[in-house]
Parts: sequence; C-alpha cells; structure tokens
Amino acid sequence: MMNGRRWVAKLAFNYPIATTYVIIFSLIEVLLFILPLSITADVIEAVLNGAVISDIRGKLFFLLGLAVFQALLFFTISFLNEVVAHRITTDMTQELFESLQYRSLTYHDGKDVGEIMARATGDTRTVNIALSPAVRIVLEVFVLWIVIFILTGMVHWILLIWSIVIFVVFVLATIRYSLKLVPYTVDLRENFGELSEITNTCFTGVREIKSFVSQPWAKRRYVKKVEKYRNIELATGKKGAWFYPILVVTFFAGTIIVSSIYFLYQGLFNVSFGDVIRLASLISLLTNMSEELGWSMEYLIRGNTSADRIYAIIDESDPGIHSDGEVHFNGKNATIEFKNVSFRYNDDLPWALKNIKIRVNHNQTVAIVGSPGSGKSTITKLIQRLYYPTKGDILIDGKPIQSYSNKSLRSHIATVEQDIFLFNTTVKENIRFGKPDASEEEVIDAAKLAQAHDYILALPLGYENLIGEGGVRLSGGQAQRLSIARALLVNPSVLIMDDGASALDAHTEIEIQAAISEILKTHTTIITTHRLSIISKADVVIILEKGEIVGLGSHEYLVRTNHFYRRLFERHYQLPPMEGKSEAPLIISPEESE
Amino acid sequence: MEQSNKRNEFKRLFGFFFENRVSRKQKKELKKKQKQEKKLIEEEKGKKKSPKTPKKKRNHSDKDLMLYLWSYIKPYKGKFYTLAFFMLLTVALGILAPLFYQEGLALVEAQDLSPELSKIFPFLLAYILIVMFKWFTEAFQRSTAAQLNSFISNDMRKRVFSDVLKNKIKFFDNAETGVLTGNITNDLQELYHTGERFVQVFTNLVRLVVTVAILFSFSPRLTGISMAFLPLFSLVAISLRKFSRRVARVWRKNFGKVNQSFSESMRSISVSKAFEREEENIRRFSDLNELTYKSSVQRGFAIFIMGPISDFLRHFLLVIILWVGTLEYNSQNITLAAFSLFIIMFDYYFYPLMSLARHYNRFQAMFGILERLLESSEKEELIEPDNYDIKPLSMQGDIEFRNVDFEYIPETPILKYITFKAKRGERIALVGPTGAGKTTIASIVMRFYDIKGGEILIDGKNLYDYDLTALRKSIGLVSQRVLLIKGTIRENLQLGNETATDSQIWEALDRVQAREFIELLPNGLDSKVSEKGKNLSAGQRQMISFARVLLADPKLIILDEATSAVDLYTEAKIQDAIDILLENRTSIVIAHRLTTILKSDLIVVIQDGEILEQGTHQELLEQNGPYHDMYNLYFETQSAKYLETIKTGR
Repeated sequence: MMNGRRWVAKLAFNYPIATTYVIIFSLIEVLLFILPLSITADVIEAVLNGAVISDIRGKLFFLLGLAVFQALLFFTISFLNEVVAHRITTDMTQELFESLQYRSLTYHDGKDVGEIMARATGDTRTVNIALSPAVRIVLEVFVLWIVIFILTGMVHWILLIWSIVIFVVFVLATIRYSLKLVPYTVDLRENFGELSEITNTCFTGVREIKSFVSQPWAKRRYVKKVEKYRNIELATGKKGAWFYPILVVTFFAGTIIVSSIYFLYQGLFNVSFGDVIRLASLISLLTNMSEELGWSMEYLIRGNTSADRIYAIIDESDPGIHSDGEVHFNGKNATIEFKNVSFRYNDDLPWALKNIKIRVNHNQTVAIVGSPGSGKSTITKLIQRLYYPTKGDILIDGKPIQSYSNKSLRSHIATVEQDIFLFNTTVKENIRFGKPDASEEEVIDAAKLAQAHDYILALPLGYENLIGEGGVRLSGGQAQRLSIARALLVNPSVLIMDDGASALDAHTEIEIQAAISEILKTHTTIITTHRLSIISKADVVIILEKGEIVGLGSHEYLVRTNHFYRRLFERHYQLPPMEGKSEAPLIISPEESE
Repeated sequence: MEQSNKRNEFKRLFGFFFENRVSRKQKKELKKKQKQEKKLIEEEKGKKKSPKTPKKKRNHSDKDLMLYLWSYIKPYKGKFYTLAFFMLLTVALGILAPLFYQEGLALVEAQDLSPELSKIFPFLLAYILIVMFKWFTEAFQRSTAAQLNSFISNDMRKRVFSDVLKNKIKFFDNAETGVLTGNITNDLQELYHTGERFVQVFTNLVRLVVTVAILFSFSPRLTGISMAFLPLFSLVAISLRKFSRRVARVWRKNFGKVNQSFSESMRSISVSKAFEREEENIRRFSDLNELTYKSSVQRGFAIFIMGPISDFLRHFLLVIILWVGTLEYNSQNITLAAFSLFIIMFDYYFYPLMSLARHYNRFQAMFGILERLLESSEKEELIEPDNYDIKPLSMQGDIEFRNVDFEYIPETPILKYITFKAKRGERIALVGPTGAGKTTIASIVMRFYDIKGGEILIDGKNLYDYDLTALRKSIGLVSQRVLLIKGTIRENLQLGNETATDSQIWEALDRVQAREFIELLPNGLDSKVSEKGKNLSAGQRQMISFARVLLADPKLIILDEATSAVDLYTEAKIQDAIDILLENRTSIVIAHRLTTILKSDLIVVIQDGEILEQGTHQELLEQNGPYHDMYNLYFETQSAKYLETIKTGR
C-alpha cells in the first residue's frame, strides 16, 4: 500500500542518479572525515618518535589537498541533496495542485481551504527539511557509529560490545525523545499563527476598539493568547534543552577516552599514542554530530507525518466524479429544460431542489427570485454542470446535459457569480480569465459591453493596473462589471448571473443596470436577482421557496397575484394592490392558495 | 532510453539554469516596467497619504537600546544571573576537561616506568565526571536561556501591544497594520531566536578568550600564528552571509507567491470550473512553482556553500597547527601533550569566530528590531489617555457642528465650514458621493482626529472639554467593517460591554432579532467565531455589531450604513434592527439607502467637504437643488414607480 513515505521515495527515485549519488557519497564522505583525524594522529605519533618537519611535510600537503577534495565532495553532496529535496517538494506541490484542480465541486465543498493550504505550505516545508539535511545527517551519524565500532573493536572486543550497547540505548532514547518533542513544536507553530491573527485583527479594527473604549477587552484577549503561547514556548524550550540521549553519548565518550589513555599508560593491547589521539578526536566528532541528531530526528518524524498528510489528499477519492460526454454543444439553439429535477448536495443533506420543471427558450431571459437558501444558486450551478441532478433530467438543445463534452459546454455557458472572485493580477488578466489568448480588442470590447471600460481607463495604469493587494481596491459595482466583462469575453450563448447584491449605492446600481440590460437581449440568460428593474425585463420570473417552484409568470402578473412574490418586495417597494386569487394556468405549485 | 532518461533527470534538476539565459535584455525591460508600475502605484498612494519620510538612520544609540532591553530583563534578574553563572560554569568545565586529558597524556609521555593506577586514576576520573557534569550545566544553561528569552519576548509583546493601542488613530494611518503586526509577532520571534544565538555566541566568545589565554601559556608562538588567520576567515564568512541574505529574500518572495496562487486557486475553484480553466491554472501554477524551485536551489546553494568552506578553513588551520607544532616540539618549546591539547582545543577558537561572523548580521538586526519596538510606543504627541475605567457621560445627546474645518494634511482641507445641528433623539443623514467627507465627520466626532477650526458642541459644551475616554464611551460607532476575533460569540459581544451578563446579551440579541440564528448554532453564545467571522454571513455579522452597540448603550450613535451584499430578507431585518438601535438616541447616519434617508429628521448633502444643502426630504425636493437631482437619478431606481419607465423603454 502506498503511503507518504513510499510516495516520497518514489518521487526521489524519479531522479535516480542524483539520489544514489547523495546516498552513496554521503557515506563515503563521513569515512573521508576520518582521514584527517588519522593523519593528525600519525603526525603526532611520528613527531613523538623523533620526526622533523621535512618528514611530515608530505603528510601535511596531502592533508591540505584532502581538505580541498573533501570540501568539494561535501559541497556536491549537500548541494545536490538540497536540489533533489527541492525538486521532490516542488513535484509534490505540483501533484497536489493538479489533483485538486480536477476534483469535482462536490469534493471541494467538503474541503477547508485553510486545511489544504496548511499542507501545501507548512507540510511541504517540513518534508523539505526532513529530506535535506535531516535524512543525510541521520545517515552520517549512523556511519560514524559504525566507524566507532570498527576502531573500538580493533582495540578490544569488550569495547565493541560497549559501543553497541550505548548505540542501541542512544538510538532508542533519541526516538523516544523526538516523539515526545514533536507535539510541542507543532503546537507552538499553531499558536503562533493564532497570535498573528489576533494581533492583525485588533490593529485593523482599532477604530472600533477605540470607539467602544474596549482596549482592556482587547488586551485581555491578547494577553490570554500570548500567555498560552509563552507557556508552550517555555515547555518546548525546556524540553529542547534537555536532550538527554547526548548524556549517554557523553558518558560513552568519556569512558572510551579514559580507557584508551589508561591502556596506553599500562601498555595494554598495543594502544599507541596516535591511537589515543585518533579515538579522542573521532569520539568528540561523534558527540558533536550526535547532538545534531536531536532536531534531525524530530524533522524526520514530522516529515513523515507531513508526507502522509499531503498524500492523504492526493489519494482521497472524489465523491462527485463523472465521466465526460462526447456530444459537441454548438450553442446555436440554447434551450434549457428541467424535467422533474431534484437535487441534493450530499446524501446527508436535505433536498435543495424538488421536482423542478422549467423550460427556457433560446435568447429568453429567466429571472429566479426567492429567499436565501431557496435553491436559486443551485439551479444555476446545475445548468453549468458543476453538479449533476440527483433525479430527473436537464436537457440542453433537447439532449441530456450529461451527454455533452465539458469543453463545448463550458465554452458556451458563462457565469457571473455571486461572490465575485477577482484575481490578484492585472485588470486585463482578470477579464481574460476564461479565454487566456484573447486579443486586446476583444478584452476592450467585452469591457465596453459591461460598462467597465470607462472606469478601467480612469485607473492609473488602465488595463494593466493590478487589482487587490498592491493594486487598487474595486468597489462592489466595479467588481461586478469586471466579472460581467469576464463572462462576455468568452462569447457565450447562455449567460448565468447569480446576482446577490441588493444594497449597492445608488450610483453603482444605475451603472450595473445599464450593463445588464444590454446583454439580456442577445443571450439566453438565467439570472437570480432582487433588482426589480432587471426582473421586470425578464420574459419569465420563477419564484422558488424551499427548493420548489411556487410561482411562475411575468412580473406584472406575479406582483398582483402571488403573495410569495409580494412578500419579497413589499417591505421595500410600493406595490400595486393585490388582485385576489386568480387561478392562472402558469402557476404550478398547489401551495399557492392560502 | 537510458540515455534520454539521464538527460531528462539532469534537465529536471538543473534545466532552469540554462533557460531564459538569452532574455537578459527582456528581463531588464520587465524590471524597468515593474519599477514604473510601482512608482505609479506609490504616487497614487502618496496622493492619499501623507508624504513618507525618507529612510532614516537610527535615532537611538546602541546604549539607549541596550538600556531598553535591560528594562525587560530586570524583572528576571534572578534568571539572568543564573544564566550567567551556568554559562561561566559550562565554559570553565569545558576547558577544564581537556586540561585533565592533557595531564593524563603528560603522565604517559613522561614514560613512567612503573605505571601506578593511583597516579593516573584521579585525572581520568575527574575527566569523566567533569564531562558528565558539564552536560548538566549546559542543559541548565540552555533551559534558563530559553525561559529568559521566552519571558522577555512575550513581555515585550504584551507591552508593545498595549502601547500601540494607546496611540492615536493618526499613528495607525501612517503605519501599515501588516507592518505593525509583523513587528509584534515576527520581529519578536526573531528576537527570541537571536537571543538563543546570542547566548551561544557569547558563551563561545568567553570560551575563546579563556582558551586563548590558556593555550598562550602553553605556547605563545603556536597560539599567535594560528590566531593570525582568523580575521581572514571571518571576512569570508561575512561576505557569504550577505549573498545568502539576498538570495533568501528572493526565495521568500517566490515562496509567498506560490502559496498565494495556490490558495487563490482553491478559493476560486468554482469559477475555474465554470470557465474551464483547470489546464491553464495548472500551467500557470507550474511556471510559478518552477520559479520557486529555482530560487530554492539558489538559496540552498547559499546555505550549503558555507559548510564546505568552513570545513576547508578548519583543516587549513589544522595544518598550520601541525606544522608550527612540530617545529615547536622539535625545538622543545612544547610537550607532546600540550601539542595534543592544541589539536583538541583549536575548535574552541575556530568555531566562535565563524559563528560570530555568521550571526553578526542577526545581532545588527536585533538593534533594528529593538528600535522599531521602542518607537512604536514612545511618541508622546501620539499617545491618548488610558483611564479606561472612567464612567460614561450622562449626556442629553444634543450635537452641533459650527463652521468646522478639518484637514489630514496641512493645506489640504477635507471639511469646510460644516454646520448642522441635531436635538436629542433626532436622526441626521449624511448623503453624498464617496470621498465627500462623510466618514471624516464620524471620525472627528469620535475625536480620532483634531479639528482645525470651528467648534463641535455636545449638550452645548465643546467636544474637546470632555474627557476623551468618557466621551467615547457615550458615543457608539457602527462601522461598515465589523471587527470579529477568533473566539466565542459571547466574547465578541462583550467587546461592547465587558461586564454584560448573559441575560443582558440575550436581550440585546432579541432586540436586533438575532436571537434565532444564535440559538440555532450548536453551542449558542459559546459557539466559535472563526477568523474574521468568516463562518457568519454578512447579515449575521451586522446583527452582532448592532447587538454590541446596544450593550454599550450609548447616547449618541454614528452609523456607517453597510453596502455589503445581502438578500432582501436580511435587508429588511437589518432595517428593523437599525430602527431599534437608533430609537431614542441622537444619531448621525452615513446613509446609502433611500429608506434610511426618508426616515431622517435632517438630511445633510455633502460634496467635496462642503455642505451643499440641508433640510428634510420634502424641503430638499422642493428646493430643486442637488438633492433633487440625486434623488431622481439614483434613489428612484429603488422605487417601483421607476420600473414602469424602464418597461416602456424596452
């Protein structure tokens, strides 16, 4: 079975040469590290035996040459290790991104963006550090221990057993320690995020805080967070300070050094002066490197969990997956028909739409009105085939919506969504979103049609002006017109407008009305709105209530006969008098009489 | 096949290195263009904001900043001295151990022909004990340092936060909140890490001095010669550090871009699907991702070039020691044991200098951070009183503006001769285009800014004669953007009145018709509000902000009507809530809706900071002035009558 670790290993072996090089040569490099220590010991030994400078000159030059070679080797290993690690995490991010792009909306509805982002950013970083240098350090420390086994074993087998015992204790202690430390560091990071968040919120909302004179309130909340953070930081700091496995190694180092001196002193086991120096320097190297094992192990454990977390998303199944159809939709006859369509987002959720029957002819305009949660947006999403009907059929140009190819469908149906999402890039790029290769003229034409051209030109850099952070902030109306231009650019035959805004300032209202009115004439349009001025232009108005159609007809007709309809508007507008209950043929729902 | 695979691997790993080589000229042009854009945007910003002061040098001497730091260390003097003690102890033990080792070797070297255990045993035992004991003192030292660091940096956090909140709004206008937040979170985090390093480097430096002194006593010449190379090494390390900082900056920027693009794409997934953008998204993301890969590799280069260089220099130093040491031994200036001591201890003076060189910039940056922290709270002229416990005023609620002039920047008037008057319980609607100065009027009533000329009277008394805190407690400001913190609903409501009981809270919620939605939440008042209230709808956020004002029970309310998108039902509820909120209270409403305007006792039409006309709806319509035009042009679109004209127009 695939898991995070295996996945990372698989990605690593997409680069077999580099990965193998790093693994093999980092082992060799540690062994090379022993050479200078040995040479040093030899030199001292030679000097003890009466060597003069001319005798050891050769050794010293060799040492210098070795140092150059070793530095080069060390560099190629550590750098290549880093390169491969980044390559792997870059590939991971890419794979994660791609897998998410093709998931259905049903899948995305159940996902928290923050959660996914935590994996895309924090977890990939952790994996990165785990791969370079944590894995390498762990590997090197192990090799060093093996060298210690050999050297101690050459002196006496008891020392070898002693080293092995210490090694086992050390490894177990390190793993235990790291496992305990990991939750602290993770906790610390999360709390740091919360700290930043509350700081930012309080500073952005400083006017409100000052106007309520609620500085004490803010401080108390803040101090609470700081103290929580501090306590975790204290605990982590303390825990981190007592990396006790090192004590074991220190004790070991002490015993080996002391016993080698003792052997030399007593003349046991042929231990020479050079051996003592060699062992002593190697052991102090081992102690230093073992200290690195503390955090390396921690990252290895965290990296493993992180890789699992990322892979879990990639591996997840998509509940809303459907195969693409083959029929090409040419948009020439954009009639849409709902045949007894029922829909729910999820098996656990109530029906969002119940038995919907509507027909929209080519170039007709349909306005859908209703209270929040009545299913207005759901209808528009079904037409876009972002979801598939649970029951019943949606026919486009007489054929079921499932039979069309995604590409042809999407290229003829465009949307102006309710929560307008503009990207942090130029105005032009935003308009070109649905057709990245659109020419300058096309962009300008679309903007003109959407009544956005004039205000865009008034921006400091016109169409090249950035939007959002680092650029201008657009008003609600401006954003909406930009989104209309974006939809018009793809030249759709069906236009869907999810128009949620009700209280834009009057000036904006005028501009948007102008923009929309133009478009209605030339497209099959489905629009959810509360703007009476738009509704009055629709060929048909549909009233939705709790997922069911409770009224159907023209504005004039409904405003005089349908109390659902009246209830929507009577608070805000002066409506003409109600004309009793005329049994009009257009009314579908039996609930109308009340 | 094999061959192509190899090439492919190489291309994937290092391909970026060969790409875009030709387009250096293009790059230049692009940079130029970006610069221009930036300049334009900045100019645009500059028009709105006060001109930025040019980049300045530090205003405080290092001594001042150290004193500032000391003021935070002071409460933890005990810990501080403990740290110093353990540090010195660790250094002493660290040096003592090799000395015992050297003594042991010296005994061996003396070629004692009758080896006696009792002679060498004390040295060996002492060595082991010292080494073990040193581990404990070191751990104590680390632990104390971590604690001290944590206490200090978090004390600073608290203090700076409360100091910043004490500042006038003017301070917040000039400082970007992002930067402020950065100061208090990331900068202090950085300070914590610097503190850690500082203890390390300082320990090393003490050890360096002692080691050099000891080694000097063994062999002045060997010490002298080997020390001579150290400045050179430091120089190498410092110059590398500069390079790595630059690369790291680029990397951070690109990494941020990728993350932003990723999250943007996740949040906009339904738009992408609607426009069939998946492939294009992936292509673009891939470009960014590869760009980040490139800068990651560059950053990796900068980091991992350090190790080998430092390693080489260390070996170079070792060769020097061996060379000179042999000469010295041959001329019988040192013993072999002492020679060995050099080999064991030369790391003690090699690493401290390397680490000092590596972290030098960090310590420099520390002063910068300290200064920023100090400055965020010390400007006397920007500080407001903090008598937060004072009682609100018992005011009637009459308010009058008399020829009020105001400007943010000298010579750029924002408000001119603003004069209007409202009696207790009356509602004033401020009407006019964006940028007319409506919000400014709200701000100056709250005394966020001082007026330049004229008078504002509340109950006939000058606004500036009241105690600032008491005044603000008596005036409620409902702004468009609702401040919500991550916490419970209750906590967020208590922003208005910290002592409010649950029954008071429910009553307030009842009145703004928000009881229902809160009761439907799983934990009622204890339900969590997520970051910035994202789990609540715009309407719900509004309701909470209204309930909050009711809890504060002010006599005068300033309401900035929200223009956010809500459906008609919510709209109606909000209107009802507003009516309840403003009942029996004097209010100044920055109005966007016809219904709100029609219900006002006085409509003040403002444009470019001046009052064009004021009066009731009827009066103004009859005057046939700007209000009349505005009404016809804009507000009528919201009434049913207008529909008929559109109908026939089609």
